[in-house]
Amino acid sequence: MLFEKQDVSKSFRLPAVVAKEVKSLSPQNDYERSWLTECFKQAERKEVTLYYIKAPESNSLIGLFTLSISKPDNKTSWMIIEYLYVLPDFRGRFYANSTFKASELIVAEICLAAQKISSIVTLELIALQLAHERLLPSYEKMGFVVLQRASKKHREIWLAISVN
Amino acid sequence: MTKSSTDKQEKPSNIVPVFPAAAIKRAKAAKMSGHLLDAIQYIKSQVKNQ
Repeated sequence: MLFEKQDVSKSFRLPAVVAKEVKSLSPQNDYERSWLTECFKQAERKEVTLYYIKAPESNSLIGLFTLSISKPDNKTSWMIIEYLYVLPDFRGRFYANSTFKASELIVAEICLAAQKISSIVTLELIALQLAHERLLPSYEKMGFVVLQRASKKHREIWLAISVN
Repeated sequence: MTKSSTDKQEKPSNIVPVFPAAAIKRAKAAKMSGHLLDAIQYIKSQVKNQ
């Protein structure tokens, strides 16, 4: 897999430009469309860094993810996986000749990047908001633990794992 | 059928909540599983072969 940092231009302030890019990613419903739209808006505002994931042989797009660095408690440095999207053609099956799903390899690559960053600056945790509760077993299989469960008070499910 | 409030989020929020100290301690102790470490090894082997 190839990971390419994307510079989202100011043209993405135009809803039509965002809509065209989102459509090219084949979202399966309004829910995914909404998340992808928000990703481009956040990337244009420089709140997150956007990466495209491509197949090395064909250069075709596999998915995308957005990252940010945060220090929510002013003590612990976190890498936040803001959104991870896999194109429909690559979901629910192993990637290429591996025994891993595309999403697992993307998380693994993010973990590798976090480990490299942590050798230079303090970075202790990788965290993410779960887009859907049904994804929980997949992340627990990788070692993530629940930081916050959805409740009447909080709708978001947060997971985290140690960088090292 | 009513959608559960825990079903899914409408759109991402990039505001990280302040979590309880106990939750953060648990996260710091959460190590990458063998499955994830195997995935990392797979990526490293692919890079070597390129």
